[in-house]
Amino acid sequence: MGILPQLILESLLLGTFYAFMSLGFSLMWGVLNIINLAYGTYIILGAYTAYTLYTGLGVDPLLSIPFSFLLGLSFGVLLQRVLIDRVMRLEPFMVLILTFGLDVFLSNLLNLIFRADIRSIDVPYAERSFVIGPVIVTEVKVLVFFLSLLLTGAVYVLLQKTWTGRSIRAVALDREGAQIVGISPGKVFAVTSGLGTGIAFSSGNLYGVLQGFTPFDGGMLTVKAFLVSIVGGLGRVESALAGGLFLGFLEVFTAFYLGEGWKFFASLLVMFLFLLIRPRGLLGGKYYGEV
Amino acid sequence: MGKYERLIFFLLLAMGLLPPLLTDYWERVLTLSLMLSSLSLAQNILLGYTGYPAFGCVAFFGIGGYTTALLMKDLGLPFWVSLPIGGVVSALFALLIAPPLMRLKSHYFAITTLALQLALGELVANLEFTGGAQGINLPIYVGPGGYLIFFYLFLLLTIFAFLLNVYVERSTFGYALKAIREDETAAETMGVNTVLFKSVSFSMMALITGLSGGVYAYWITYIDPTSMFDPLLSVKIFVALLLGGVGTVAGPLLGAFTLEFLSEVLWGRFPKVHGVVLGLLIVLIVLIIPRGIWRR
Repeated sequence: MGILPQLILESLLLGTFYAFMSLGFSLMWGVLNIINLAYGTYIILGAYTAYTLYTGLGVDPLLSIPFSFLLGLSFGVLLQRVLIDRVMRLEPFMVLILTFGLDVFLSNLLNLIFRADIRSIDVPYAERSFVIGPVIVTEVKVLVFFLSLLLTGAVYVLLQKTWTGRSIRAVALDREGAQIVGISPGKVFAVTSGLGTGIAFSSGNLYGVLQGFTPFDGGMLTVKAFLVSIVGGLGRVESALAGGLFLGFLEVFTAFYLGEGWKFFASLLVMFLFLLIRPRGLLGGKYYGEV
Repeated sequence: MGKYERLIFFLLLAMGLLPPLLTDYWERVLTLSLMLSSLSLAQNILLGYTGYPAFGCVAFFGIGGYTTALLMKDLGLPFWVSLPIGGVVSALFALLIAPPLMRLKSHYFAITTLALQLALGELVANLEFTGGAQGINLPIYVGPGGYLIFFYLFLLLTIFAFLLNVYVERSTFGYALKAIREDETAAETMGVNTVLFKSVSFSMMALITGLSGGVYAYWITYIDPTSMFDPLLSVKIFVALLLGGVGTVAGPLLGAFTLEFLSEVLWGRFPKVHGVVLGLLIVLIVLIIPRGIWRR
């Protein structure tokens, strides 16, 4: 026994957050067939939004989640309409370069405004924890866990039960088929991009509560979102959960047994191997995205 | 060689006469431009003629740089021996991973190579013998020509890469690559050994990129994982290619020089907002001239 229950708990809590965090990336990839390299910086933008609201107006970062979501939603729709729609018609890898440029632009803009110092949102309940049997539970991690679960559930309901969600899934399945039954892919792309960016921004609030951040942490977060998406398969909530938990376990266990330094390497290696051997992911159906 | 190609070739040769006229600053700018030229020309063989975007090509820059540096530091080999070995190691590694890697296409291929690049960077940062995150110090070059030697090395590499591009443009080998670019299944049906040809094209890219990394390592004398496996360098190579025109022999040179000069001017004028402007520049280039100045 010993440390094992603690590690498993940490992995579960972290993994569920990763699942929610990556949901937007996975959706955009699955539905629009674009890999958004600026995604991690969207999360960081959300974290800075929560930070500014907290230090400026005293709004609790967990309460400002809806605001971050709406901000991300508008930002995502705007970017899709102004930038990405135009480039999507070209080779798919052009979107990679475009979003990389966007990432460089946004992270340097943040650096200009906030400087490169590590910021953290020091909520009063950040340090509280309690003990259950063999494990120590940090309150804030549990809070983030439940919120992630709740929000992931909300996205699931949106995708499964509403007409917006159904049309998103229809376009992901078969773009032309969706057009035949009267769905406009252009609109669905804008909605998906908005939803995805909204998810990224609002997960930034949670990320900011969990740990400190700098303007240049986006790249690493993009890799995490990518790994979650590729392991689970694209565009589905169940897949993101599977991928998120996988990443949670991978990170916690590598960090504990091999050292913190190997954590990122482990993620990248697994990502490389998955792409090489099974680019569809563990649960990926044959129609989500194309290989 | 055609008329244009001969013109460019002589222009490159003529560049060798420039150094006496240059200040240290312009010598540095031109050396950087030549480095980016060699890297863009290398990528052009793969992306331009074969149609595979190796977004993480800087992986080979790092392999070449680190191999050269380690051979010099640990085995005490001279630079002139270490550099070619660095290039060959890089090319062989590419040849080894090409068959499984090149089953992937377009952005899947691109992102997999990027994952490789980042993973190698992390690996190097965590291993003992590579100097870890602290990096490696190399001896400073003392000998004929002083630091001008690096200008000439990058110039030579650029000329070599340029001639390789001309060869690919005109040869049967190049026609096979172009056939793969246009329609891989059709090429295979016509009897092109696609796996072999793709792999060779990939290794050619890795050879030049690795050599470039080796020269760079000795030039800056201090290397660490962040500078040798930098994703920003990957994107610069691609932007230079897009700006100049993919799949032409002149485009990569034109793009690399334009981008490096633009970047230098911006760096000088607005040092604080350099990153912001560079990001904006990338976005604008993709939006406005995705097919480049020099069209195929």
